[in-house]
Amino acid sequence: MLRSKRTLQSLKYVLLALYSVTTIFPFLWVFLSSFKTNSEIYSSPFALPKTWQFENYSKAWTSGNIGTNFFNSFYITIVSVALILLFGAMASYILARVYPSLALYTFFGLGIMIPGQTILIPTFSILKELHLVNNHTGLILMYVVSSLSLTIFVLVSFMKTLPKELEEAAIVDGAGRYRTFFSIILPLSTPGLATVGILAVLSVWNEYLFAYVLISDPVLKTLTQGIYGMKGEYMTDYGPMTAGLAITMIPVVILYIIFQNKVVAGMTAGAVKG
Amino acid sequence: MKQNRGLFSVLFLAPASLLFLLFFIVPVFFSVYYSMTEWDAVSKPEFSAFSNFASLWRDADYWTSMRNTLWLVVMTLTIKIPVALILAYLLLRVKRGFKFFRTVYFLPVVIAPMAIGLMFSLIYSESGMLNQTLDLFGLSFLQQNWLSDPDIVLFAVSAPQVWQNIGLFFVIFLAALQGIPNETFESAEIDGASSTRTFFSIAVPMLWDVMQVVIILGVTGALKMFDHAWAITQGGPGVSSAFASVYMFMKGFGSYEFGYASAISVTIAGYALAFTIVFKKFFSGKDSLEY
Amino acid sequence: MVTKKIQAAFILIFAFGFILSGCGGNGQKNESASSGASEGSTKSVKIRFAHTWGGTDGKTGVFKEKLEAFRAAHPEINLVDEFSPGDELKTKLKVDMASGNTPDVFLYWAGESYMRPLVDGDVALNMADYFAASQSVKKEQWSDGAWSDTAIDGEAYLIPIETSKSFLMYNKEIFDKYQLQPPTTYEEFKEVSKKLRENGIIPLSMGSKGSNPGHWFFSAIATQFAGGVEDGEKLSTEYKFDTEAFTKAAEIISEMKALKAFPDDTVASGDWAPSVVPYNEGKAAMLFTLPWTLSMLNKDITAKSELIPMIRMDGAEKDPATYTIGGYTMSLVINKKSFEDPDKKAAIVAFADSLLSDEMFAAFAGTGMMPAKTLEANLDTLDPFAAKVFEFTAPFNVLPFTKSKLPGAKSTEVFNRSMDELFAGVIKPEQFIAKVNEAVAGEKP
Repeated sequence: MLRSKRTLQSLKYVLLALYSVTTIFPFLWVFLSSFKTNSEIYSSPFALPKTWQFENYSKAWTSGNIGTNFFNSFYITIVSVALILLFGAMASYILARVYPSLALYTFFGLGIMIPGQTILIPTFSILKELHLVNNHTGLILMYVVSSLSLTIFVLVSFMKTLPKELEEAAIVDGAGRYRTFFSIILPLSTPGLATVGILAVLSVWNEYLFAYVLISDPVLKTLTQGIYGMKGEYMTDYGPMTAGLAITMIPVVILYIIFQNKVVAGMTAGAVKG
Repeated sequence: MKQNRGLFSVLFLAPASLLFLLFFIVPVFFSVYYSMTEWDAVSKPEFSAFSNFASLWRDADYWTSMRNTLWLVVMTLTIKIPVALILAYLLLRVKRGFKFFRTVYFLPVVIAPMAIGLMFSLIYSESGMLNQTLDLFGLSFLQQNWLSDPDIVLFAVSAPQVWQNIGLFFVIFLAALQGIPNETFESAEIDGASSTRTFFSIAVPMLWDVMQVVIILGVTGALKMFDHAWAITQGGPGVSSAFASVYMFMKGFGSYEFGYASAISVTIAGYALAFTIVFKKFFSGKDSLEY
Repeated sequence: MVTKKIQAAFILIFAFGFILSGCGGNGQKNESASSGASEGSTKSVKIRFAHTWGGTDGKTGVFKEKLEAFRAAHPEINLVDEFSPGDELKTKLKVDMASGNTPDVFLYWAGESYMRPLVDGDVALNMADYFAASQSVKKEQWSDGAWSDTAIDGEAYLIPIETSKSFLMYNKEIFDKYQLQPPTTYEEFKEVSKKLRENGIIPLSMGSKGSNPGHWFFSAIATQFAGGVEDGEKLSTEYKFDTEAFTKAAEIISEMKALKAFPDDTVASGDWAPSVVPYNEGKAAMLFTLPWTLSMLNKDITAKSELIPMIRMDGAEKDPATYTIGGYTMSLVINKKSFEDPDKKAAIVAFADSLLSDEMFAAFAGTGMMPAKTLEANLDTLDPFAAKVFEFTAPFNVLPFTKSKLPGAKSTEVFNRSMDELFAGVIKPEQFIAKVNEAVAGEKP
């Protein structure tokens, strides 16, 4: 009985380890390849690089324009997420605690049920009329809109769980509703905000389709566009390209490893709500 | 005071509601309008009633892309969900290495689908990493033309998405399983139930709520799937690996048939709405919008 | 205590967010910063130039140098260069044009299917206006053929920069090893392919993704048959693709595929760079390609390579040893609206003059590009194999590739996708012909 339990236990580890190989291996391969020459990548994909081609990274960063793309994505993500959190929290506060409205809740719910691709073409033509094509503002606007629904859903259910007393006490104290919101509700909602914030960061940072359609000016392109662009048709130099991939992946992986508990909690909450 | 409350509510709701109305709801109606026009995005749209939908009905490529999307749904139900659930269940009571495995399994989820797609396009090349790995393990008979065999290319472009989603579903299931009190499992074990039986008799039923969420996520995710296929094959050869939104993109930004592409996107939205509502209606007593 | 901490964290997040959103319009700011020479706002005219000469393109270094020289010589012009790799430029320009944000000067592909929308949409300047304004660049500096091949409705809306000639090469070492002779006829090609395959060698490195490079090979076959060239010319007037020459070419490709003359995965080995890889690695014995892959070829491999004319098909009417598929590809287009803007005109002319100068073409030729302008190319600075290719293809007539004659974007999209399917063996030749024929017929106004 005990022995069979132990075999089962080791079998379990073998299975778990096997699957972890499939998730780590491709990343390792990209990382190794990013230090190799083109022909090495093809001829000996698993060997260590003969000489470490660090210039792949500098090539990707400068001539591949990845540097510019990286900062564009950084800027767009920060601004979008700040706006998503602010607007989302304001609306959620009303819906959760001041004026619960099923109609409005349903209205925002449409954003979860209808896939974003549906509005790709009209968005393009509307932003074109507003001269917001090839402009970060237009893209940020779209990111805010597409993350609002989920943000509101998660935050409303979070804010509903907050104790009523604090808020009432503040109102009795004569604090205005604005002050109550900014100095009591928002700080209390930090865990909820962190959750939706992380979800928003990941979805904005990783987005491709809207960026592809709305931004064509090379200096305004985002990181996902940058790495896709590296696949340039006439020349595909796999060394700098894998270096570019590594550049996109490394910051996210580091952030993820630091904040993994929050990320996992965020994804779970987001998924369960949305 | 009352009036104050009203004004305050309006002010606080305004930014989110207005943005959402102007840049989501209005575009959805625009999409419906464009779907009834012939439009190349440069000249004015010409009204053509339902002719785009009639052409869609007869468009074999459209149905291929829908069949491909359906295949992704099937993969969701038969591979992604079971594998994710089994992994979560296996890991649940592992003590050593719990954090490591959880970190590593979830890793693919945080990386941009576009980057994952490009990574896989390198992996699939003819003398690329995958075929070489198979060679190394003496499995050369498994080597394939990953990207040009129409039966295999669909598998090839779905695999990265399956791989990324398993990580996500795994974490959701794991969190849900951790929410089940330990005693439930322990008492079952004392009763002599094997872990396979506990899995089916306790874990699966107790996860039903979460399962619904995962199914909806999987299906709507399949309807949205774009980046991986675009990075690897751009939907080719032909439309063998084109999913609904890839085909929509080909028609819109590829050949400038924006009216037709809008008709495709309207059908995608229709399928998503219909699925969510029907599924909710049949599988949970809850209000169809609260999920 | 905890609340305090949370509060602090929260304030931090928002402060950070607002600081960054405070410097809003960063996007716009970037633009001028990227122009390379961004000393202050003294520049009076801003000119945008969209091109493909960046990244890993062979012309990048030379172009950058010339660009800096131009900027130094014209401090009054704020030249913004917008680079997109290869075909990405097409998508960029489509979006730019649709959003009314067309660059002032840009590179584009010669050919009816590409240029037609630009002419109909009144985007492209009739180059007669440019020549009238230019001091140094004259129409006569290009051959008559350059103009007749790229004209739309008999007018020049672009100025060809790059020309191309396809060529077939083989790895002599591999052929010698298996005691084979380079094929000249289709029969010989089939025999050689069989022997090479028996030895685990890919006979011809050729694939199709987004129709590249497959459609060049298709044209090289179709043009050999009676009517092959004329059928292409008539595509935009008669809207007919189901001709005998095209059908035969599709059948031959299908047959070659069945004989395993190509790499197994024609999609993965499609597109320019991947198509060169098997040959570069010595896994493929022959390569049919175009000059822009020259810089991707391994020096060790080119040292072992020899050039041969295209394989002669059975029943060929035209001898493939007398011509090659190619023609004018990358060309310069001027935005009509910008040119008519009196503030911009002089700057555009100055920039175009410098781009189209003999020095610029000579510099590009040095990197392996075939210049479209007539000039005494100095082959000494060229890579020896590139020089060999230029010499070998020099006596050949150049016939245009079929794809450039398609009547519009819709049929081009279908042609590209169907070509991939044909090479992958997903569709039969008659299905290929039927699909493209339907799309071409659908373009009839």
